[in-house]
Amino acid sequence: MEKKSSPALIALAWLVVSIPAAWGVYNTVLNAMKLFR
Amino acid sequence: MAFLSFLDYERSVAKPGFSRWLVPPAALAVHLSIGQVYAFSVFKNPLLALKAADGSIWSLKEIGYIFSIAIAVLGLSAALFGKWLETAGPRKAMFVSATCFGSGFLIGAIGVTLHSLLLIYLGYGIVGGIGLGLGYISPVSTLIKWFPDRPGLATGLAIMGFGGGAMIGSPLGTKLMAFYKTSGHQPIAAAWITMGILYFVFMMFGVFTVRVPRKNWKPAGWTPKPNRSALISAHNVDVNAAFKTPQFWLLWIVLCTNVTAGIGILEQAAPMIQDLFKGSITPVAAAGFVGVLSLFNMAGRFFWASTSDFIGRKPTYMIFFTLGAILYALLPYTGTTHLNSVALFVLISGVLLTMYGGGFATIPAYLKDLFGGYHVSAIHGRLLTAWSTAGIVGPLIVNGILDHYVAQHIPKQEAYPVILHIMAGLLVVGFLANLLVRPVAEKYWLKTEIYASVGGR
Repeated sequence: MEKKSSPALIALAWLVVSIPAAWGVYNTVLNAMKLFR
Repeated sequence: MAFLSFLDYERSVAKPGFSRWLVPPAALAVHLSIGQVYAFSVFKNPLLALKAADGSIWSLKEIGYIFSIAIAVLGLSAALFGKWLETAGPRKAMFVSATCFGSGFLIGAIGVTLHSLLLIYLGYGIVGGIGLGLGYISPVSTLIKWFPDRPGLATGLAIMGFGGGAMIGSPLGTKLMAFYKTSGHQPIAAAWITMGILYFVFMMFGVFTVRVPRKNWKPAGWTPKPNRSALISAHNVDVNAAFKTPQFWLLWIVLCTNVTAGIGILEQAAPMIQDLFKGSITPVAAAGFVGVLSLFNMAGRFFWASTSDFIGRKPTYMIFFTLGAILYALLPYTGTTHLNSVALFVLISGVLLTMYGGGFATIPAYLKDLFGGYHVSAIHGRLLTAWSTAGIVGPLIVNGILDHYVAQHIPKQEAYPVILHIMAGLLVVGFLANLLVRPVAEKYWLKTEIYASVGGR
């Protein structure tokens, strides 16, 4: 029988890569804000 | 070694019901890791301050070679191992990439401890560089096979991760060094050991998650559009045959000119904004400008690559080369001597950087359109030599002109119009190369029976 990938598993996989990416973007935005101060 | 059999191509074929949306995170895990290479500069000053037992130190030039070797090996390994990757599959290639990239840090850490630059060259530069090259190309053809309906979106996502990798690598390196300094460890060596382990584990998430679609798999309900562009081929071309086509070399020029022009801004971003707006931009604000450019660069990778799925690859590059040439020509006139608009300068530079990133991210889908998906990673690997070339040519042009102006005691800000107009000229060359791209001739197509004999991979 065909076993579909669980939506929770897909969300978790995206979370694993999104968290460090978001942390990197956050730090870059903080740095970029210095231009507008 | 039996325990490594999970890396075999056959073991990575997806079972029915596997969601293709699990594949982009696998690709992102690799690209977010290897993108760290663009944050290597955070280690420059700490390495400069590092003293050997006899009190000797390294020069900036010697330290600069670490990054240069890594990027050169990236291009070489992508070109050399691309064909192997097509037969070994993405899982094995990602595993080798993770092992090389992680151990590159560890060897480099030993080099730091022993104050041996050669060991750092070998570790971070050569071993790590192999990890970079293999990691960069390994998910490309897999993503294209999973997303035949949106190849630009899929590869754009992964290559956006490479841009994002620098954003993670920079604060991670800085914070780890600060942490180890306070705890009494050698900060660079300890940071590199930690990063080597962290990146290996993160990339292994990609290794375990990636799957290749089974033979003849298609997205549910999707059928190729009948009104295809002549530039979207239904045929496949072997990497060695592709290398002989004019299309390969035209795209090589397209990538090389686009990247060289982008480097024209990136290379001098912080000093350029301070020179063009003398007295009104502080060094701290200039560093912020570099951050703004990184964000535009990353966003452009996703935006342009996914837009190319709708408007086509050739028109996408036409936009880069026409709009880019106009904006490069205009950019110097935003300075204090003309329009005196920092906002306009930042906006134009940002748009230009989206097209720089977009050029990287759209090229795999352009290759897939012209040469099919069969060897697209290997062809992409060979095309990346254009990036390596641009990495040498771009800084040579920029620094050569700036050095000349300084030597002649001419104000540096007068050099920027020359540099930026050369970049605009390069984009005109790219425009012409892109204009000449035609469908690949039938004599280069892979015979159907050969394609079938490899299981239509």
